[in-house]
Amino acid sequence: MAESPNRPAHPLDAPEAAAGGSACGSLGHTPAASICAVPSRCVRCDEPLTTPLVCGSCRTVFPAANEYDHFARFGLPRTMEIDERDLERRYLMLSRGLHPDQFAVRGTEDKLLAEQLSAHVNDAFSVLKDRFRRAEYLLELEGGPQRAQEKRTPAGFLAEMLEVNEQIEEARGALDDSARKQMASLRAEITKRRDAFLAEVAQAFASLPAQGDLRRPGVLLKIRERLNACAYLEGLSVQIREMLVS
Amino acid sequence: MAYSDKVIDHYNNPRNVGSFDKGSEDVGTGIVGAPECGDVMKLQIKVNDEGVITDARFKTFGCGSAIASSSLATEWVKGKTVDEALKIKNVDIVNELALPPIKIHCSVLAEDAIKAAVEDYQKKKSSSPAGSGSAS
Repeated sequence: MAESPNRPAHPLDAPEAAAGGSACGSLGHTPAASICAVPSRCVRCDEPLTTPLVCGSCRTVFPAANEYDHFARFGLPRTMEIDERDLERRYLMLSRGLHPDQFAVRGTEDKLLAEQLSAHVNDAFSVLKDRFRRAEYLLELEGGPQRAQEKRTPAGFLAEMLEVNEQIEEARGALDDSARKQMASLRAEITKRRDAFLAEVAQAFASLPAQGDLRRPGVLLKIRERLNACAYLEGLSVQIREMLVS
Repeated sequence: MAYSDKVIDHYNNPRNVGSFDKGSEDVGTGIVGAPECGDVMKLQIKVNDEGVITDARFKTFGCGSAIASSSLATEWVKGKTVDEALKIKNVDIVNELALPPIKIHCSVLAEDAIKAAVEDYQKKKSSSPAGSGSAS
C-alpha cells in the first residue's frame, strides 16, 4: 500500500476532532461534503471528502477511522439529537464508499480495511438509529454507570412494574376480547412511558455537567435509572405483543 | 440448560406466594428487580415484638430460578430474627438450588429482596411513635 508512514499529522487521525467539534452545532445541514470537523479534502488526491472514513474519489481508506466512536464514524457530534433521516443518508454514503466492488482492483490491505470499517459502520448504524440503544451507548461513552452495576430505577417504578405484571398475568389467564383490548391499550401506554423517559434522558444529556463537575455523577445516575426503567418497559411491551399474536 | 429438581419443585409448588398489607406496622416489604432480564421480585416479612420473622410472602415475575430463589428465601427467613435473616447469602441459595452460573443473579436478587424487606421494616420501626421497645 502506498501510504507513507510519516505523512503529516492529519485531523482525521484524531477521533476527538470529528466527535465533538464546536462547529457541529446544527445538524440540519444536508450537504455531506460539509460533515463537521472533517477536513474538506482528501490527503491523497485533494478531492473534496464526502465521508470521514473513505475518500469518494480515490478510495483511500483512513486507517485511523478504526478508532472512531460510532458518532465520529458518521461525522456527528456526541448527542441524542440525531436527525434519523440525516443519519440514514450518511449511512448509505458510507456503505457505498466502502462497498467491496469499489475495491475490486485495490490491494488486499485496503480491501480488508474497507471491510472492517464497513462492519463498524453497520454496528454504528444499528446502535445510533435506535433511541434507546443510542442513549445506552452515549452513557457508556460519557463514563456513566452500566446496567450490570447499577440496577436502580426511579422511585416507585418497580412497585408499578409489579402491578403491570399482575395485570398481564391476569389477562393471560382469560384472554377474551375485552382483555385483548385492555392489553393493547396497556401496551400503548407502556410505549408512551418509555418515550417520556427517553425524552428526559435526552434532556439530561443535553445539560450534562462537564467532567470534574460535582453534579455530573448525579446526572449520569439519573440517566441510568431511566434507561433501566426503559429496559423493563421494553420487556413488558414484548410480552404483551407475543401474547396478542397468539 | 436443565433445572435442578429443587428448582422445579419450588417452581411447581411455590411456598408462601401472596401479599401482606404493606402499610401494616409489623410488615417489611422489599421490591427489587433486574433490568437486564426484566425480573421483578417482591418479598415481605411479618415480624413479631421480639424481632422474629413469623411469616413471609413473595410475588415474583421472572424465570424459574428467580421464582425458586425467592420461594426458598421466604422459607428460610421464617423463624429467624431480622439480623439472622440478613446473614442469608446468595451463595447459600445457589448451593441449595444447584443454580448454574448464568442464574446466579437470580439468587442475588433474592438476597437483595431480603435486605430490602428488613430495611423497610426497620425504617418503619424507627419512625413509629412510641415504639414498642422490641429493638433490644
